[in-house]
Amino acid sequence: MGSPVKKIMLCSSEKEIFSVEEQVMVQHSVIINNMIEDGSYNHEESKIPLDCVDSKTLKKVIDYCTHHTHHHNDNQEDLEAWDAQFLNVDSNGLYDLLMAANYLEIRNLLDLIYGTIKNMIKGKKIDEIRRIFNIKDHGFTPEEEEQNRKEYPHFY
Amino acid sequence: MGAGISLSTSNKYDDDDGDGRPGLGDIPESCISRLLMNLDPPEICQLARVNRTFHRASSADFVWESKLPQSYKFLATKVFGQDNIIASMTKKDIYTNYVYPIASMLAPRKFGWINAADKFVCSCHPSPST
Repeated sequence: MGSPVKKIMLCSSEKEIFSVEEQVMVQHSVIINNMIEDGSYNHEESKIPLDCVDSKTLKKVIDYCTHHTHHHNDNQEDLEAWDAQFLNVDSNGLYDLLMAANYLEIRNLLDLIYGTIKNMIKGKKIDEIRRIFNIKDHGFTPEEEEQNRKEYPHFY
Repeated sequence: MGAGISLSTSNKYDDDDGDGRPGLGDIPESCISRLLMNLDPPEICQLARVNRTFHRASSADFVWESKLPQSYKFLATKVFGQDNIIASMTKKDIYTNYVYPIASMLAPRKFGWINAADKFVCSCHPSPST
């Protein structure tokens, strides 16, 4: 009882250190949960290097985990409104969050991001989807592309 | 001692989308498959044509396993008397060869999103050069 809240250190790609409640990250990130469980994290001296996550994204990820840990009893509507506000980012921001959530294996955040991308492409034609994903080179041969367009015009 | 996780940052430096940083189009194949898993079969078939990575991602077994009836192994054993006919097939082929034709026959309205079953089956097959 009364023991101080255990913290862990996360280090962004800019080498900025973030101190976070251990419980918050353990609850959401499979990777961090495993590290704590198997003892590979040393509370005295370890910092978890997240070379692929920049400070801005890491801060957002921590915000997400913290909010969902402390507000999980809120009503569903409030949580969904918070999530919608949280993911109100541009497509680069969405990509960064997806890569971070994928790396840390934060499953509910991943589902949230996949749901958002799904809504972005729902009912869209392939040309629009390529624009959304900023795909300039689809990698198909001109013949394949032409055949697809001919065969499935309703997709394009 | 240290808690070492590191991740290849090589794709941070890919510069093929013009503005010098990766974007949504650079999502790894496994993530695209996860995205496709949440979509309906006709949407998966459409997205398979977005680019090569999407095309490969659309063939992942776990994408199609979620579209098969839970009892598909049991049904295959009943129908074929053995399940080794489907054991060597990809989940996508099981879906296109067995599940879709039957489902569209039983519930044409529900599966009316594409006019002819054979057209749909074709659209699910990989393009010849893959």
